[in-house]
Parts: sequence; C-alpha cells; structure tokens
Amino acid sequence: MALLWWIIPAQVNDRGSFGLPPSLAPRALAWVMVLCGTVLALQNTRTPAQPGTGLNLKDIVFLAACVTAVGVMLMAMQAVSGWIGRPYAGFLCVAPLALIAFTALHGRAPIWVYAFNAVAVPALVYVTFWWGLRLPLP
Amino acid sequence: MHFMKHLIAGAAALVMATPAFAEFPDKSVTLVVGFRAGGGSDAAARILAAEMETQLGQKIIVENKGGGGGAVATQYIRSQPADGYTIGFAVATTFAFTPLTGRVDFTADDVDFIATTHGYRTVYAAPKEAPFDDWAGMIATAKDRGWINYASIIPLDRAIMQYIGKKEDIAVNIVPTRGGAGARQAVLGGHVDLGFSGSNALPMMEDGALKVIAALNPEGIAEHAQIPTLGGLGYDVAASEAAVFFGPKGMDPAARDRLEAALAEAVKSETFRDFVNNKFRGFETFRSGADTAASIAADTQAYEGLMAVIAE
Amino acid sequence: MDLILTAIWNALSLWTLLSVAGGVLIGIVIGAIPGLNAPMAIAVAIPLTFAMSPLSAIGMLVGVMKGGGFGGAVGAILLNTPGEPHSAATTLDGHPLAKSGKPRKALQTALYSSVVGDSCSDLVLILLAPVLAIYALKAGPVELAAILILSLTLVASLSGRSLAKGIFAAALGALLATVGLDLETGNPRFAFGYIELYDGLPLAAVAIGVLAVPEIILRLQDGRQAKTARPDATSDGEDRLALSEFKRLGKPIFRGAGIGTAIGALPGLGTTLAAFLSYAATQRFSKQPEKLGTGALEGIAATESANSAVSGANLIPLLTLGIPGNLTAALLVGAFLIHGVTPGPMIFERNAELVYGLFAAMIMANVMVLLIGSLGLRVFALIVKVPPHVVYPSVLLLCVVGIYVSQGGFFAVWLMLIFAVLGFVMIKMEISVVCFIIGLVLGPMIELSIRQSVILLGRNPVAIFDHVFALCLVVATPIVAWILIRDRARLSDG
Repeated sequence: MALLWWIIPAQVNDRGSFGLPPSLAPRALAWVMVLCGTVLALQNTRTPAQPGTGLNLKDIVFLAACVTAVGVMLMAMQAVSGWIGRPYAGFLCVAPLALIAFTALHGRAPIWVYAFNAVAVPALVYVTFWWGLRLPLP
Repeated sequence: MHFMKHLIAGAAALVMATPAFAEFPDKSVTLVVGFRAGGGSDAAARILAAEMETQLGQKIIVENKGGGGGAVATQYIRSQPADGYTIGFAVATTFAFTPLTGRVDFTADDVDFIATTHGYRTVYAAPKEAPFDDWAGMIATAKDRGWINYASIIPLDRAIMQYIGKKEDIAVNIVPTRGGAGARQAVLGGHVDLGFSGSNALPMMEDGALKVIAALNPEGIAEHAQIPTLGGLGYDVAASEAAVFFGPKGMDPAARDRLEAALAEAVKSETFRDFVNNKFRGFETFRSGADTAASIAADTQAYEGLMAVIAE
Repeated sequence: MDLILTAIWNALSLWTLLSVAGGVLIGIVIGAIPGLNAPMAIAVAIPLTFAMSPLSAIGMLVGVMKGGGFGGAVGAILLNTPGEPHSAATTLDGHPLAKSGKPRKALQTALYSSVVGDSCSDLVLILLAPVLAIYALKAGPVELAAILILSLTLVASLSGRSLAKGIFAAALGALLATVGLDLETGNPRFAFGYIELYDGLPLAAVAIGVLAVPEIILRLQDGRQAKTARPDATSDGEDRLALSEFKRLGKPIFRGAGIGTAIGALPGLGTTLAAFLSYAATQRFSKQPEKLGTGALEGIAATESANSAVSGANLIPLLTLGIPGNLTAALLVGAFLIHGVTPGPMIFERNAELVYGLFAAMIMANVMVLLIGSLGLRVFALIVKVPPHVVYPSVLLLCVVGIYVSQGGFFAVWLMLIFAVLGFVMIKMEISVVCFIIGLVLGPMIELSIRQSVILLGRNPVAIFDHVFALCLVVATPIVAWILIRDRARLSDG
C-alpha cells in the first residue's frame, strides 16, 4: 500500500507545479481527484495492508526485465530504421532478436521454440502486415 | 476494370519514366498523412497517392500520423531527410494558424511546400427551427437577446466568431464540441443557435435539415450563390483552408519539382475531381509550391491581425 | 415497395455476397490480432473498396465492422488482449472461461449473443430509423450529462472487493483522460510539451497497455516459475455450448441488445458504456451474481450482445443525421462519402436503393459472421493449444506491432509500455483495471457534456426546467448508487 501513498502525493505535486489553464472545469475536476485521493489514503492508513498481497521484489524485477526487453527492442528498431531508410528494415533486423529475448524471459523452452519464434513469427507478421494489409512497419 | 486501367497506365509511366540515367524517384516514396485514417482528408490523400504512383512509376506508401490538426505529422516530417522520399500532407491552417497559438515550435518557414491540391469549404449552420433565416436575422436575434450559443470545432473558427462578436457587440457563448459530428449534433438538435461546419452541411441544407447562413471560405459556395461570404458581409476575416503537400526544409529541388509536377497531373484525374467536387464538396484549386508558400504567408498575416483584434 | 424489393434483389448478387464475406473475414482476422481493432480494420479495408460499386463497397465495410466486433471478442477471450476499451468487458468472464479449458464454449457464447444482439438492433434500425433519429436528437448535452452521471454508479458494482479502490481507479482513469488539448480553451493539459499528446492518450494503446501486456507478463512469469499455464485438457463434449445453456442466456442477451440499441441510437455515448451497463445489469439481476467475473456465460452474453447491438443502432444517427456514434461509425461516414452516399434526413428518398441494399447487406453480414465465425471457432480455439512459450512472446510482439501500426508511431508504443507497468502494479494491488477503463472512457464525455450544459444554461438558468428528463435522472443517481452499494454489502455478507 506504500505505492498508493506515493502516487497520491505525486499527483498533488503535479497539480501545484503544473498550473492548469484558466478554465474552471479542469480545476474543479482536479480538486475532486485530490479529494478522492486523500480519502483513499486515509482509509489505507486506518486499515493496514494484509500480508501476501501487493507487489513483491521478485515481481518488480521481472516486470523491469520485461519492460527493458521491449524498450531495448523499440530503441533498436528506431535506430536501425534510421540507418536504413527502407520500410521494415528495422523490424526484420530486430524482431527475431527481440523474440529470442521474450522467449528467454518465459524460460523453460526447448531450442526449437527459440528458432521457431525468431524466424517464423516475424516472417508471419511481415507477410500479414505488408503483403496482406499493406501497412508499413519501421 | 478501374484497377486494370491504373495498372496499364502505371506500367506505361514506368517505361517512360526510366531513362538511361537514374532520376528521382528510384525507390518508394512515403506520404505521411497528418490525419487519422478514414476521414475525408485521408481519402483525398490516398486518391492522390494512387494517381501519383502512376505518374512517378514508384510505389507510394501512405502512413497516417494524426493529431494536433496536422502538427504531429509536420514535426515528424521535419525530422526526416530532405531527399524527397518522405513527404507530408496537412492543411494550410496547420502552417498559417496553428503556429500563432504558441503550442507548436514550427512555423511555415520550417518546411518546403510542394503544392496545394484542393480547397475546403466551411460554413455557419443554424438549426432549421432557428428564428432567423440569414446573417442579418441572426445578428438581430443575438442583439435582441444579448447572446447566442455557438458550437465551435477548431481554434480558428472560435477566433473568427470571437472577432465577429466583438465587431457586432454581441456576447457569443462558445460551446466546445468534439469534432464535426459533435457540432452537427448540437445544430441539428437545436441545442445551439449557430455552429461551424464543413461542407457536409451543404447536402443537409439541400435536404432542409438545417440552414446555412454564411460561408467562411473567401471563395464562397459556387452552387449556392445566395450564401454570403464573411467578406461579402463586411467582415475583414475568412478561413482559407486547403490541402497542402510539403516536405522537410531544404528539399532537393529536382525531387520537389518532380513531385509538384506529378501532383499537378494527379489533380486532373477524373477520380480525384469527382471526389473533390461531388463527394468531398470542396473546390478545385492547384497552387505550386511557391504560390502555396506565398498564400500561407498572406493567411498568417491575416490571422495575426485577427488575433490582435481579439486580444484587445 | 417495388423499389425495396429491387434493392434487396440487387444486394443478393454474387458480388455483394462475396464482398460482404470478404469484409467479415478481414474484420475477424484484424479484430483478433492484439492491438488492432475494428476501426483499424475499416481503415485498412477502405482503399480496397475504391474500385467497387457503392453497394459492394458499403456491404464490405459493414461486413468488416461486424466481423471486427467478433474478432475483438476472439482476442479478448483467448488472449485477454482487447483491441478496444469495450472488449475489456468481454475479458471479465471470457478469459477466465477460456483459461479454464473451455475456449470454444466462451467463443460460441460470444458469437451467438453477438449475432442475436446485432440482428435485434438491425431490425430496429430498419423499421424505426427515421422516427428514432428525431427523438435521439432531442437528447442534448444536458440529457447526455445526466445519463453519464447515472452510469458512473457502474463503478460501484464493478469495483471488485474494495469500493474505495474502484473509485480511485476510475478517478485515475478520468484524470489521465484529461490529457490533451482542452476543447474549450484550446490549451494543452498535462501534455508535457509532446504534441503527440494534444489529441489525448490513444485509447487503444492505453487499453492494450493496461489490460493485455500485464497479462502476458504474468504468463511469462508463470512459465518461469514452472507453474503450468496450460489449461486443463477438457473433453470436447464439455467444451461446447449446449442448447439448454444457450436458452438460459436469453435474458441477458435480450437485455444487452436492448441496452445496446438504446445507447447506440443516442449519438455520443458509445459502445464501452453499453457493454459495461449491460454487464452491470446482468450482475444485478443474476441469480448467481457471485459467479460473474469467474467465467460465467451470462457475463459474456451480456457484453457481447450489447456491444454488437450498438454497432447496428449506431447506423441510426449515422444514416439519418450523419452523426457517427463511435470511431468505427465515423470511419464509415468517410467511406460513405467516398462512395457518393451522403447521410442525411433525406437519405431514404435520395439513396433509397442503396439504403435498402445496405439493410440487406447488414442482415447478410450477420449470417456471414455466424457462418465464418462458426467455422473459425475450431481454428481459433486451437490457439489455446499452442504451447505458451510460443504464444506469449509472439503476442507481445504483436501488441507492439499492432499499436505501432494503428496509432502511427513509436510514441504510442512507449505509452503502451508505461501503461503496462501501471496495469501490472494495479493487478498486483488488486485495484480494478476495469474501473480505470470506465473512468478513462466516461470521464472526458462527462466533463465535456457538463461543461457544455453549464455554458448553455449559463445565460438562461430557467431553461433547466426544459430538461425534466435530465433532472429526473440526476435525482435518481444517488438512489441507484445506494441500491448498488447495498447489494454489494449483501453479497459480501452472504
């Protein structure tokens, strides 16, 4: 429940520093939010969190790993498509590596799965999106 | 049938357009449309793209980057190489009006214009049960009551209405609506006295569902000469909206000229003309890149004057 | 009458039939791909229709729309990847049922309820469109504000174990929905200088981010911890919807169809509201309300019939007034224009042949969804049999690709990633993600309609008494809220 505590003050801070446009309605809305948040926070202090729920460290580490994997893939795609100015260059270079990473995150997969995911899946996406739907990818 | 015709024309253009030396374009061109897929602006861009393909003999990839009335696409185009292989599609006010609002960090000078391909027409629409039939009647009603409710869609139409309110000394209650549909709903349902609308109000007027009392575009409505323009009513303002093709600043002149020539041909196609006149109900107009830049500069100046009056 | 018959006869030509079937197929496939949705499917199909006759073209697009609706349910049920916020309601019961080894049953329920709901609203459209449209127009900002405020009580019944958390989630959603250019002043709110945010947060990116990606991450984690994510193998017999079971679903289906039709006919409310309203109503009147959310057929039936009913009813304001009820309908207006059909009150006179052809095409599309959907069931249900270490990594890639394509850029994908973190945290903290989505979707509608009402009534406060219906709804709101909260209390006691 600590996170709830952290989110709410952050929201309040945002509000102060942000300076909402001089229209009444958004400000009123914002105040309703603050009020609601405060009530919640009070409630949460009164009833302590039961053990066993909420985030644990393992979850956070895993979440961070997944997010990093996707993030690195996105940055690599952006970079590669910048170097080679053709559609799909970035996608075709990076997607197989990304899939290997995703599969590794899942773990416990036989080697053929890595190969299948890295080759067949990007190929399938490429075929559907480009030849089937004519939509450009990076 | 249609498709075959294009294919043959495309093949013919390909043969003719590939002389001994490598000429622009020798690979596919990406057209970034500054609007969401599926709307009238997007449809026009896609029809033109198909025509350009036959002209240039290369594939044109249409990508949609909607948002901020063309501003998102403009930002993107500015970050692209100026080789002519990535070009953008937006509207005149993206460059003439949006920068004046201080929300974007580009101006009309930060891009190179390729061409203007067609114009938009915009009007003021009133509900059919409104107590007035024309502009003078609307002003009289407003003066009598002291205020009118006005459904606005974009910042420019709001600014123009504020200007009119100031000139006529009437209080304009500006009701914000979400897109053209929201404003039309408010007008058709009689929830406001007046609303801004695109040319899709014209068929509704012809059906008797609403009244159109003035046109905002300086050219007026050719097929309905009785609808006055704001200029004709004695106001020194107008909303000139047109579809604009542009590229990054400092575009390769040869590529730019080639694209301009292709567009000049593309707008002559039957499909496109039919779309603009009968479906989109805009108007045909073609301006070269240089003329586009000049007219946008003139628009910018006019809008600056407008903003100054409102700010008084 | 002659004219109508000719129109229907024209619509039954082989070409129209083929284009409708093609449309349905495109719709189902695109709708089922994580990150893509019905509006995307229509945008993709529009260029394909340029060379067709107007009737085939519109038939195809209607097919895409209806197919896309079902496709969305497929994604929502099998992979928990709703392409549009309204499918989030389908995931509530659909995904648990699929996970428990009955994907076919879940899909069948969705398919049949969706076709029934759709057909009902199509019938209403065909019989009553012009009359209804006139009444629907009378609902101005004041009435919409009242309806939306009443709908907010939904949060109370969908907020999971803690009401406070539900309200918090809805508030957070509504707050995030204020991101973008403020419609009244034209100034950006919470845009942090990104013009990409000027039009607000892209809904599809947020929905996929909050709902689908965290689910995938959880599954990946399951795989790592050597837990079997595989559903228990069930015999084929159990994984099929029995006729008797379907009959019992009649009530939620027709209730959903009614709610969907009513909401769809009122422009500006939208599918998400219909789906959640229907779900909440079913929960309220169900004999076993505690089962909802754990894979109850009623839940799937209620949401799917409601959101399909909206798509048919949406054409009422669209055809007669040119006012699209949601994004899908907005794209259809554009397509109609391209094919020379101008929506408007006189459409039945001016384009009679086309309009009745369209009606025939709609009914045809319903039949096609049923046919193609039934054939597809087997294929779709196989997805669950694919080993998880293939499915989840590929679906993750598909989400990224889908959002990139449908929102046009990396920016939306980054947003999706940020919201994935938020969604993951919310799931772990047992904060209702569904309430978050309701806040996100309804928040801006409520804000806009209240602000419009205030402006409209500002100079003329007496006018409020012209809006008796709205006043009644506002008075009813606390009463309904109280009843719902009392129900909750009773449920948790029992």
